[in-house]
Parts: sequence; structure tokens; C-alpha cells
Amino acid sequence: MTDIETLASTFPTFSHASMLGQFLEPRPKGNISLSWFEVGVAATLLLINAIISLQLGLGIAKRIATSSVRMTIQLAILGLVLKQIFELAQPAPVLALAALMTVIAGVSAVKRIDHRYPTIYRNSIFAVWTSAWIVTSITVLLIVRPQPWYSPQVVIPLLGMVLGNSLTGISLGLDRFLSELGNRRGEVETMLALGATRWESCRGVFIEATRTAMIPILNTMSVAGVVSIPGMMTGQLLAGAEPIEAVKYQIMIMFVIAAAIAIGVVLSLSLSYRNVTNANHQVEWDRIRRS
Amino acid sequence: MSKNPLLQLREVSRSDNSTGKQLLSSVSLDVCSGDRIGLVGGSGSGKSTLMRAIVMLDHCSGDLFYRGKPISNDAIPSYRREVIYLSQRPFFTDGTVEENLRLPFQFKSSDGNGTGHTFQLDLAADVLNAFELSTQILKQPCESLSGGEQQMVALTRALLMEPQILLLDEPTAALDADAREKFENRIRLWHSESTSGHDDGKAFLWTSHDPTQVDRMTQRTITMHRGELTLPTESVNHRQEVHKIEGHENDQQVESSDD
Repeated sequence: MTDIETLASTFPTFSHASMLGQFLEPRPKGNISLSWFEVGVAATLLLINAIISLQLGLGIAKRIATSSVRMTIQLAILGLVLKQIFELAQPAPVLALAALMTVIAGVSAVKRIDHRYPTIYRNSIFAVWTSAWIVTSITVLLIVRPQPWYSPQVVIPLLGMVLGNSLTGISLGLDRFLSELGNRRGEVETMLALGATRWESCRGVFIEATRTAMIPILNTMSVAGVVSIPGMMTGQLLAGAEPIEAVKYQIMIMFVIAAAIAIGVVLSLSLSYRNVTNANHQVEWDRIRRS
Repeated sequence: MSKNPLLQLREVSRSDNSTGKQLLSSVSLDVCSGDRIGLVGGSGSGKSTLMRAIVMLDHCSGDLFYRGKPISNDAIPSYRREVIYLSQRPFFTDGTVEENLRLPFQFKSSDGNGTGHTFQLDLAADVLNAFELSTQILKQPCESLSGGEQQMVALTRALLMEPQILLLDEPTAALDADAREKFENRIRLWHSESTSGHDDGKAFLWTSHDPTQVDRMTQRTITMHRGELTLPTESVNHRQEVHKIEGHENDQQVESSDD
């Protein structure tokens, strides 16, 4: 008997029937499902953060609360939607959910950016859509090959991972591109005035933005397995997968994510570059506004 | 002096996209070979805006003709090598003076049109020496130079590109008397070298808040006020002329200050 079981048995009223009793009881091997109460215990950990924030006057206690509630609601809805879609097992609902997720990713990528231009939302959605769908299609149809091809258990989580990373990359890239363009206005205009084409004058900013956008995934790849066990692999290990199988999946998904980011970033930056410059080799500064 | 205009602006206007404020109102202007034009007017009168409009750095309405022809999109970079705008504060990339002098020669437009401009280090050294700048500074980072030296380097960079027209936007405003004199002398030298003899003389526009400098350096003055050229004869001559641009008449719509 472990200490906890000893402890629990000394309070018979708490054992088995009570929630605390359930919580303390050793889990049967192979069963990793959580009760809502157990999720609640994790939530109390966040309270520590909130208390620290209040004590130090960090002013983020409210944001901790709202983002926690938001995350809970979003995931709960996702759970319910996935449950429905899994049960339906039809291609149309899977694709509809995938499309919705893609549009939300495209919009969220812009939401975090300080500088915008009029068509930025359209461009961001287009870039996320193209990059994530190309890469996810290849992964699903050529690599994972589930039966049927639209298996929501495969498509939705894969697409979700690709979208989440792609949107971060696009967001970082666009933010850097537009703010650097403003910061380096003198340089860009001097080059134009000395006979540079619009591309020659913006190339430096474009390259820097691409690099900035790629840094997080490169960092993740270089510390993967050393400092962190990546999310997908963690999930598979928890679900009881063989470590080698989990590793293979994780390596595959890392490549896929890096490819999606690269395509999405270059695409979104190219579209942005075309939208803030024109054929007269001018940069249309007044199209770029601080939001 | 009667020559064909190198550069013709017709009804060039620009308004601020967000406020709708008129920054340039129907400006028409001829710049002829050999012209030395002073551009004066208060702050915010549109002098810089006009210069930027001439090199097409901003979106403007109206027409612009260089050597009698409109400028196609693809030709804009090469056009900007012939009509060079020197902004009030020169800009340099991180790097040495030499790297910055080489910069324009790395652009695609530098080998366009068969002109075959290449960077020549000895030529650069000559131009710097004419400013009494030692060639040692070629290896120095631009940011280590004084304001005067930076302005000289910016002018050197422009001169190495062999411009036809220079647009000098208060080039000496931040310089001391000594540096200002050197700068003025260099411009005089460049202008006289090219103007003596043939018809293809260089021209420049010079904005300044210093009336004595404008008198010293230019042969006619145009005045701007609230985005317009304020000249009594301008509107009369100008209307007639819009319809006969192809004729290349040398209509001085603006009066010379020293006529």
C-alpha cells in the first residue's frame, strides 16, 4: 500500500464514493482518461499565478482569468464538435471544420500585428490556407494514408498542428516586415532614389522578416528531445504508443510544420510586398497603418 | 539661353491619402539643360514633396516627361539614376564609405540601357579628394563621419552615377560654413564641367532657407506656397502650354530671379 492509499483508508468516508477518494485512487494501468475534477486540480495551479500577479500588481490577473476561461470554452466546444464529426464520419463536415479552422488561423495571424494594410486579412488567410492545405494534404494522402482518407482523427489534429505553427510564423513575419519597412524607410527610399527596383530596395527587409519567422521552428527543432518532449509525441506516449513509433511521427510532423511555415511565410510576405509597393517602384507608405 | 527642356512637369498634383490635404496642386515646371534653379518657400510649402514627385517616389497625378517622353514603369529605376534626389539627411547602410559608394552600382539598373556604369575606385578617390577628404575614409564606417563629411559622401555617391539633374534638398542646412563652401564649390564644378561647350549640360534644383545661398548658386528662383508655384505669369503661360507639350518650346513659365 502506498502512503496515499493508507491515508485514504484512514478516512473511510472519503474513500471510493467521494470525489477526493476517486482522485486518490491509483489509476488502472493503460487508462489515461481524466475526470473533470482532476482537470479542476490543474486549474488551481493557475491560481498561484493569479495570486502572484495580484500581489506584484502585474495587472495580468484579469487576463489570466479571461484567457483561461476562453481556452476552456474553446476546447470544450472543439471537443463537442469533434465528437459529432467523429460519429458522422463524412468528408463534408471534416472539410467544413478544416476550412473554419483555417480562416480563424488566418485572421488570428493578423490580430497580433501592430502595422496593417487594407488587404492584409485576405492575404493572411490565403497564405495560411495554401501552405497548410498543401502540406496537410501531402501528409494525409501520401504519408499517413488513413482509411478513409478524411478520417477526422488524423486530418483535424494534423491540420491543427500545422495551422497553429503556420499562423505564428506568418504573424511574426508580417509584423517584422511591416514594422521594419517603416523603421528602415530612409534606407529603402535612398535605394529607390539611387535606382533600385522596388524588389532591390525591399529585399533586405523581406529576408530579415523571413528569418525572424523561421527562428521559432528552428529553435524548436534544435531542442526537440533534449529540452522538451514535443506535444504530439507526449500525447502518443501518454496514449501508450511505442516510443520509436512516437518518435517517427514526431520527426515527420516537425518536417511538415517547418515546410508549412516556410511556404506560408514566403507567400504572405510576397503578397504583402506586392500590396505595399507598386509598378512605379514606389512604396505606398500611407497604406501601412498602425492599428 | 534657349534649350529644349530636359524635364517637364505638367499639372502634377498630390494629396495626402488619409487627410485629403493637397500637398501639390497642379504644378507645372520645365527644367532645361544647364538650369540652376532655386526652390524657395516656407516649411511645409511642398518643396521636398515637389522634388520627391520629380523622382516619382510618391504616387502623384499629372504628367512627367523626361527628354520629351513619358517614363515607363520599367524605366523608372534608370530614370532615377539620371535625375538624382539627395534628401535632407543622407542615408547610409551599415558599412564602410566604399560599400556605400558601391551601393548604386549593385542595382540592376546600373547596367541597363547599355550605359555600363561600373564603380571605379580611383574615380571615387578623385571625387573625395576634390572635397579635401582623404581616401582613408573609404574604409571607415559611414556613421563615424561628421555631418558635413556624410553630406559630401552622399554627393560623391550621386556624382559617381553621372546624373543629368540633381535635386538638392537643403543639402547644406546642417553644415558649418567651411563644409557648406566646399559643397557649393563641388556643385559649381560639376555644373560648369558639363555645361561648357555642348548642349547636354547638367541642371540642378536647390532648396534652401538661406536667400544669399540661393542668390549665389542659382540663376532663377521659383517660389512655393501651400503646394503651388506662386508666380504671377505661371497660370497664363501654363494653360496654353499643356496642349503643346510635344513641341518642346522653351516656355519659361517661371521667371528668373536675376533676369
